[in-house]
Amino acid sequence: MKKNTANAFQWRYYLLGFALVVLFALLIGRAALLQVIDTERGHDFLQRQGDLRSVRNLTVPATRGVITDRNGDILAMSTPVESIWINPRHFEATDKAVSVLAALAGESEKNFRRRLQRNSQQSFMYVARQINPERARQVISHRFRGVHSQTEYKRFYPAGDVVSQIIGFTDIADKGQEAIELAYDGVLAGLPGKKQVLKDLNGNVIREIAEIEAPKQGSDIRLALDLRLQYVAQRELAATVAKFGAKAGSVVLIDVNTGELLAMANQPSFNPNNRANMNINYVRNRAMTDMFEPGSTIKPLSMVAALRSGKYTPSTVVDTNPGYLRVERKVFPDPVNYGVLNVTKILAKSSQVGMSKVALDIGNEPIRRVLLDLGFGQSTYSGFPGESSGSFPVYDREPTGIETATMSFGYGFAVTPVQLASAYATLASGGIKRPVSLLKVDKSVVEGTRVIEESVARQVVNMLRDVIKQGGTGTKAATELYGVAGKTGTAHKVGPGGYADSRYMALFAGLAPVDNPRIAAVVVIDEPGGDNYHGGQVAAPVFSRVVNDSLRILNVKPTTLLAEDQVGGLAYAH
Amino acid sequence: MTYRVQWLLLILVVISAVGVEYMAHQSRSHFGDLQRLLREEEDLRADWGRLHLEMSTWGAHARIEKLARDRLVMDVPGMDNIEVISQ
Repeated sequence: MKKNTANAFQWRYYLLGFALVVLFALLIGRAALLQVIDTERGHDFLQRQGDLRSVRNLTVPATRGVITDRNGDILAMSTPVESIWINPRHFEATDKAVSVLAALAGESEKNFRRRLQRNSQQSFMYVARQINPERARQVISHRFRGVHSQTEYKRFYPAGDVVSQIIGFTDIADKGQEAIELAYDGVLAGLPGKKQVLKDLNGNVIREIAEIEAPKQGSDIRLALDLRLQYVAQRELAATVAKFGAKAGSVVLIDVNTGELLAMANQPSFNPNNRANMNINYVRNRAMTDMFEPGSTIKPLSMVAALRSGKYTPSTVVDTNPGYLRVERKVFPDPVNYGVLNVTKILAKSSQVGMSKVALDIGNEPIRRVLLDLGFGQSTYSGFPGESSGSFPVYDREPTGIETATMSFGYGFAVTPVQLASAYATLASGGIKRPVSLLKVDKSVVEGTRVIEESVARQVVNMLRDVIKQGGTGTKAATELYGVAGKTGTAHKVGPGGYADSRYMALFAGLAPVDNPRIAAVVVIDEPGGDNYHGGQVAAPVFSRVVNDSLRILNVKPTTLLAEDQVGGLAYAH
Repeated sequence: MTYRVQWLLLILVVISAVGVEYMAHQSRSHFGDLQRLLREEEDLRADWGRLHLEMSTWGAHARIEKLARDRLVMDVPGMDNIEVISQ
């Protein structure tokens, strides 16, 4: 009986077993459908949806390269800063959170709430940009919902206003805006990388999964500039511009053997670290962008043409009586009647009459040739943004006598301070022109091209010694420790109605030490006020101090002492 | 005989599965370390930058010159105070 009963209900047992198997199979089937067999709404779809909600690609910022001077002193560097932003849709505006964030943003809680209200439909709003990482960490440590911090880079310029026009600056996104920062942006910038991270619902990174692309850090740039010399140049220039109430000024120092720009100072200057009240006119690198008529500083270069012609030697005499010269419809006067002068004295006294006579004798073309060979009217190809190539006349007819005479003493064309310095560097190197370099050159001598015969260049440099000696116009350019050579210039500025009577450029261009030149320097003072406006009074003293200090810093042997000792026959001579 | 091969393969599969999991874990933890070190590098770089800026602020030529002249009463030697020693 018992067994019968059992048999009678056997079907129940099988049914139950069957049902279990079917249910289990369904379960497995569904799981397989979702995870193994790819259907339209299968695992790929689901996984993608999941990832969309949690996996994010983040950019990893690359650091911008460092700009240093030739000795490795840092001129521009990016340091990480934090920017705090909120997602207004996730943010809970509790009193505490609002008070902390408003304080950070530097605004009243009321204003902050208003800003929040305005952006309530957005998912991104900056609270404070580019703040100290310490400070950012404090704010983040409150763990307010929807408050995030992102790393950005801010550019700092340790040398401040000493080199600001050469370095330039970057915008808030660390992209080059001016000068070197702009010209070499591609080199400095680097490429940001990418990484994959897991984020939670509030957008906080919970785990970093993988690096997709490593960031490529920006490359460093080493300039030819020597910060020590730049400082000296800027200091002396600023003092002189202030003393004479000048409008502006520039000093350029070029290494004679390499063509490197050792210093390029401009006044007035600006502080690149605080550009709130920056005057846009101060940003310009005048030494490369501003042109002026070079005046008497060109006379030695015209003399190159005279010596080259074979008609003149440094001692050839020229009669400058009666102290003025009529050329066609114009009269060129000297300040006083110098009488009979030799060619060397013409430079020392800066006689307009003497120079004009020489120029009219040798003709326009030879002078023009020298000036073009020295690079006037052409870019120096330094690569500096906005560099001017000056202007130089092109004749479609025979140039007039007036044009020839004025060209010989530096009118009728315009140059930049760097072009003038480069021309004097060529003279100083014995006639070899070397390209002007903003970047450091890893050679002690650059090859260059010969544009002036060595003997001619040496003779002209020798003649320029007399400019500095007693009776010359440039006595104030003499330095204590080194023999120098150079030429003064006082150029009339062009006003609305032709040359202005009372607006001048005071100039000095020269080289040192005269026996074995290392540097060529140009000083330009724009519109010195008052009665002292001559190159010999205003610009020459700047040249003297800058060159003296620079050569001492560069460890060049003091030549004046050696010369004296040799003359006196003292024990220390070689 | 066939059973033995199957057992062997099963063991190998299990070992390799554990190995894969272990490596995946390792890679994750190393990536974590890498990120930590990168952050550390970043912090050190930031410090380096700050120290550099500090150094150039304190060591600015203008400041050094002023201190040397005013506080230490130093001066650049003139010609009278220089002797050239040459051989």
